Amino acid sequence: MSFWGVMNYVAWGLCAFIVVLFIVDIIRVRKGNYKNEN
Amino acid sequence: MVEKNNESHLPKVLGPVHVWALGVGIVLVGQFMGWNFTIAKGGSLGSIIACWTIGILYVCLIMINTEMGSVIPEAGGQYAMAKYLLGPVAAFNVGLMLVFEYVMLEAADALVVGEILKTLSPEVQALPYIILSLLLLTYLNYRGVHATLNLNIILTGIAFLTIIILLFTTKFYSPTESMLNLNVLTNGLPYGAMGILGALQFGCWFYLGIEGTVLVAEECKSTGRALPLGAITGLITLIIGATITWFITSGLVGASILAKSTYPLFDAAIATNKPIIINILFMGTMLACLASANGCIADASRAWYSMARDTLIPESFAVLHPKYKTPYIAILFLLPISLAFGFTGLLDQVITFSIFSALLVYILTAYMMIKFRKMYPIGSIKRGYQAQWHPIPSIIVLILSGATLFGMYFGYWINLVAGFTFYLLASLWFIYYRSKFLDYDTFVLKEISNWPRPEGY
Repeated sequence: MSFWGVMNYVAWGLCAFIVVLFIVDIIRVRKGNYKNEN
Repeated sequence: MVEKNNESHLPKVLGPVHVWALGVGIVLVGQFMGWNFTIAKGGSLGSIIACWTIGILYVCLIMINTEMGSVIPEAGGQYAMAKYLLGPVAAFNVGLMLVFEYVMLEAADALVVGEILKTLSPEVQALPYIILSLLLLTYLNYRGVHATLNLNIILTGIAFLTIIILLFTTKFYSPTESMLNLNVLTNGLPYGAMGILGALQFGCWFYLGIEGTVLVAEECKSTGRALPLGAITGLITLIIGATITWFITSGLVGASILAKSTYPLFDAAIATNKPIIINILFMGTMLACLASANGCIADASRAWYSMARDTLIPESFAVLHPKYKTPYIAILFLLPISLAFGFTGLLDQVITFSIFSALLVYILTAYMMIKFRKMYPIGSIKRGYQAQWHPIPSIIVLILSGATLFGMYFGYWINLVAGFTFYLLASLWFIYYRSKFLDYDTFVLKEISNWPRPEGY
């Protein structure tokens, strides 16, 4: 596979990673994990 | 159940440079893409005429926006003005129009990022990069506003510098060495005066979004100074940049190619046959698109947040993140909308809907200014800035916005009908359903009781 072919998959992977970051943070907010940081 | 943060107020951290960066940062991308559709509509000469004509519209708009923005005591820009001057239905519509103006713009930015990356290799796919741009910048905004606007200052400065570099590369100042060939490559006014009318809508693309500076009124350390200074210097930057952009691209790229280009400045760089310049403009286009999308995500989410805080839309959108203090639900809600439009790949359609929404806001803004001066003449209320020669700026905004909407009919009448239908349906939803939930005690701030009684009331 060429370099740019790999980069396409890297881009998709980064997209998935950021989505996971959002989901994890929202779960933390819902659980009240940030309450003590105010 | 998620509790609404009753202390939902944004911190005051911004100065004139931030206001300039937010304004120019969103808008500078218009030099790198989209404006060139003016050539498709009106020819090369029609394009520069549209550029300057619409520049006049924006000068007037900035003047009236800044006066009203310096009086209204909260974030939301024209939305907040509509709240106090026109009432809930108009405010709901203005808020919605502002949101869609910026959401479409960020979608267009992401589209161009994807398309320009494809020039690196035929194997590059645009879609993952379109999505990645929007996700990454949304995450940045999710985490905090000050960091994103500081980043915008740097990105905007670099992007503007690339235009200047390209200008001097052309050696425009030397009659013998100049690379520019306006006589051969431009096509004048192929459609006459009607072409200029049709070109006006894309002329807006040079400047659309500069009025977003007013959205951060609540976050300025000194509103009466930061807002006018930042907005007016921003507009001057854009008018100079627009003229330079037209000059360079029209002198390097044939009108028929320029009219259809997704990235006109980058195509102009390619025409110089200098690899370093091509790379610089590649970077400039990318940075301009990313800075613009960054600012748009900030502006759109703040408009949505303001509407929710005022109970025009469900209050869950007004919740601030407990750690980052950003309107995170508003930010996340708008993300799929911009992604959906980014998926379409139709740059001119996405741009047109953004411009349509903006023009409706401008018409309402001009009407609000006339009403504002009648209700509160000079001296009756404290103003941080006073627009000169009233009502001439408002009249100019009304005439030029109306003419631009009329010109949109040429080739985009379906967009006009769809746009009007959308806002009509949204208004009906608000009137017959959402208005029941409106809380008038939170809709206007208690500070409004300090205002004098309006003239005639």
